[in-house]
Amino acid sequence: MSIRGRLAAALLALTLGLAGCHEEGGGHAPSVLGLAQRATAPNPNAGLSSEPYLAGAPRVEAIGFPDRPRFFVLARTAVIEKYPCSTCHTVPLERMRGPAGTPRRAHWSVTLQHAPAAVMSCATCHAPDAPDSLRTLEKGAVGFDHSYQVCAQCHSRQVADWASGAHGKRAGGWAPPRVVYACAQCHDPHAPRWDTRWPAVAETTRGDR
Amino acid sequence: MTTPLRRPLPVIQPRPAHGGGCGCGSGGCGCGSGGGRGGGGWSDAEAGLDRVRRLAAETPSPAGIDPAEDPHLSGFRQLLERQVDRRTALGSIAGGLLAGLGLFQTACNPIGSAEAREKAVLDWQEYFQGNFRLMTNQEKVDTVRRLERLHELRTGQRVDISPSDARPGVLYGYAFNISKCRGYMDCIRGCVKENNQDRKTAIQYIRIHEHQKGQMDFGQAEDEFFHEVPAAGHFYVGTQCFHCQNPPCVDVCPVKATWMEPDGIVVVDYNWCIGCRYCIAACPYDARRFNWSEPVVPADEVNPHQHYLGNRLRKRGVVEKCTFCIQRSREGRNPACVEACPTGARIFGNLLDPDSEIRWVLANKKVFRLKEDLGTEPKFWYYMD
Amino acid sequence: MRTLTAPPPRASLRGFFVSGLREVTSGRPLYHAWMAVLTLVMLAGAFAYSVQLREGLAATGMHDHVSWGLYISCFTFLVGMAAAAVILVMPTYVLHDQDFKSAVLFGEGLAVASLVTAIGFVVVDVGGPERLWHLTPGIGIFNWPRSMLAWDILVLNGYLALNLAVPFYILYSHYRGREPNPRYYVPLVFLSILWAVSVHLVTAFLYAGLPARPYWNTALLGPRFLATAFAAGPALMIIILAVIRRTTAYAVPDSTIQKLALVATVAAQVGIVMLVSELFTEFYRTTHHAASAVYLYRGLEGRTDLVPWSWTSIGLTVVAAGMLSVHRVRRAAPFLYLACALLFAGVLIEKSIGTIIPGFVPEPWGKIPRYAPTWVELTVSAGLWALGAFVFTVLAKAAIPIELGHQAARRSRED
Repeated sequence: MSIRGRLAAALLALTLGLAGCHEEGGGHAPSVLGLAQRATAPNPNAGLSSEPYLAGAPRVEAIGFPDRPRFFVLARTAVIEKYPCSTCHTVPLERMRGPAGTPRRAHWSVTLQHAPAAVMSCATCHAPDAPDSLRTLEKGAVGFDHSYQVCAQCHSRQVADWASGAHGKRAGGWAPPRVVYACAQCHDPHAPRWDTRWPAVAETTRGDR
Repeated sequence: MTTPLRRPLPVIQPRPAHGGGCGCGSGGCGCGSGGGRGGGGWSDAEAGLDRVRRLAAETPSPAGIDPAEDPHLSGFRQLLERQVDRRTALGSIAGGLLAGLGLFQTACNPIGSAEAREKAVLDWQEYFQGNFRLMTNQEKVDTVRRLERLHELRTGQRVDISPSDARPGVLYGYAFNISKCRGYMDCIRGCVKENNQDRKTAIQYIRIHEHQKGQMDFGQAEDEFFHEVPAAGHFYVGTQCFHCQNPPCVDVCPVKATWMEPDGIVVVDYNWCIGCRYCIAACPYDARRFNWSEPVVPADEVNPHQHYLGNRLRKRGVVEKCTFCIQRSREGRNPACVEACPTGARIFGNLLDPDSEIRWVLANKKVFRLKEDLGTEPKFWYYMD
Repeated sequence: MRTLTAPPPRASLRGFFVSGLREVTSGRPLYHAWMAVLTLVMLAGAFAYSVQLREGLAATGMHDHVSWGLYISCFTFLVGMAAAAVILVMPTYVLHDQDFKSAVLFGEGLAVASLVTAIGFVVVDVGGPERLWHLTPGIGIFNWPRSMLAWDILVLNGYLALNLAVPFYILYSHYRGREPNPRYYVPLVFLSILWAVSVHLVTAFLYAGLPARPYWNTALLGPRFLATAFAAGPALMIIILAVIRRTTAYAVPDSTIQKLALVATVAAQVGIVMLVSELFTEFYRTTHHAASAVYLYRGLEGRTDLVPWSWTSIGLTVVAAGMLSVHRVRRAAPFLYLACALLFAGVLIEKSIGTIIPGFVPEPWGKIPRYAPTWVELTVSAGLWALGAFVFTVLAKAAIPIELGHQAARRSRED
């Protein structure tokens, strides 16, 4: 074969070789969202469980979210320092009042900085005659373990997010069971606003080093 | 050689006995298991003349029976008939030869304690180990045992290094709530506590950018801030490795030291990386870090619960990055950053589970990803309340 | 002046190497001084590399945001030099243009020296040189065809093998007093022509294939690499040939030099056209994607570290191209050499500092990193450049007597 012929043959071989080198991932990768959305079957999550990481923390099953899969809320009653309140407060609130004109404030250390005074007072959430529970407008008494029902009256959007995982914090791991922190564990219901604070560490990744 | 820190390993099927590998089964023995194959089975073969004659007289296997499994043939013959591909054969020969050489050299060294000799042998074996992804389960176990033992010999500290595989039916996804991040950097602290990064150069995988309200341009954001947070008129966005489904870093690695695991985590085999840093050039998200000097982690800050592809101690000259805390996520736990964040700005879970939090966020929140036009398909989304 | 004669041919391969070794180790004081200086610089480089091996790459000025620096800059430039050797090979064998024939072997020697140095720069740049065996297909993993680095390793080593094999065959034949058989070397020569283009194109694709770095992710990067390589390579070749003319009895006809100069001129002109195209695209309407170019040519957010370098490089290249474009200037020896030196310097700056560093600036989240090479980097680089010069000198010193002997023998045959 002539030199030119050999050159042409080599070029042809090279072209064919290169044409065959289109590997997986060389073209369009499948969209992750597409991958995720196609997975509709219930997933056993490889049999993994968050149980070992919950350290037996007491929890209650969240109620009032029929559209959401079952999830749990860390129980508050188990950790409130002085619960039930009726342990100490054995008489109704009226009897705990002092003589007319003498202001006597219960839980004097608590100042309410949650909503304007026209919207909220202590009695908004606390039943005066039933200190062992909270109360809602429509549902009456609500246990401290289900305090999210109280918050949901005004903060329905946040509570809906919280029920689904877009708000709030998860206890344990990503594997089921889903146990989440109660609202009051992050937000002090009497003064929910968070102050500024210093960062935990200084950032060291210097883009302009 | 059990330690109280050792977690039970996931059940992995050991390779059927093939006559290779030393009989003692623990990574600490000094026999020439080399690359894990080849080596030991030959010790069974004796050079007796009548045995040789017997072998020579063996008839070939009947049709349809694989000689490597034929029980009528001697084990020696079965071993001879075993089919291996050239790569395995070359690797076995090379590994066996080199391990034998090293063993010979160190064993013949009259100076040095037994521990020093053991360390020399293990160092030798570690140097010649192969790429983790191509190892059999037994080789993986041997590799991590060897590394655990080496760490113990070097520092006296015991760690457990998991070789666990990706869980089936799991693809990890991550979401970051911009409305919730307040710049606390608890995530960075948690990440560094968990992942044994070099303290001298203070490697951090996560970056928190302080943006002025009204603009999303990262070039205008501040990442050198240290003041009370959140600052008025600013919001915070965190970046780290996004574990792209179409990762450009994986494409460019010349030795395939980095790859995407089946559960979506993009990992680095630190013992295989040659340190060319092509992956760092290829990453559009500044996700990767390089060990420019020998990494130093004080002994009391070492997290002993490690994964081979995750937070085990790295060496100089290799690339590392966020691994979605593979040592935690493969056990059902959240990554350290997710767990550390006090505002719940970080969500993690299984994209293939329609009931997961991450799937709900993707379906119900307005999510976006960064540099979407590059087609990298990150598994890390941003959203707002 | 001492006349150089070919050593008496001993009919063996061993003789070839022995007489080559003898030739390389003997010479005038100037030759020895040159080699001594190079050796000293190489030793300094070796010492600096030992420091780097002890401390890790932290001894260099590189960091996570400018993760490739002086080493890869030099590597990029040297690959271009290697590719440019083909500019002598191609006309000689394809176009049968005899004017180039006298310089062909030196071109291939330049290619070998450039490749050795380029590969050296990669080796000193990796963080784990003891793990480079991981690249070996069979016992390691070689990520071909997906990784462009794998492609680069293949083409560079293949090109090195070609540029060693062909001149070796030709020289050895001449040494044995016979003509080399074209059927053996001409196909390899054709292959090396294709290969030379691919060598630099693949190296350009290393960078151009990264969408993470918009400064590199342009279709023009490869062609621009080729154009500047074909400008700087012949420019260096001209200077080398001028030195060879001066210091040895080897005759290089003016026509060779002039044709090389013509190639360099046209390549420089094409390179300038490409530069103008780049500048227009980046600056007509400047977007974030052009931030690297803004940093390089104007400065970004007050950071103007590279601006003097880029404009110097443009100035040198334009002036050189201008000088070379004028026939009379190109034909006047001192101006020609000056223009070649300017062109070489201009392309060196543009290809090294002006290509690699701006690729990393700004970093992916928009910040402007700093980079300055440390003494370790500078010394190791100097050592490697000295190695390249050393290799070239050795090859040329060994080849010249053989060629002179061959030319003399041929002339006497024709008489």
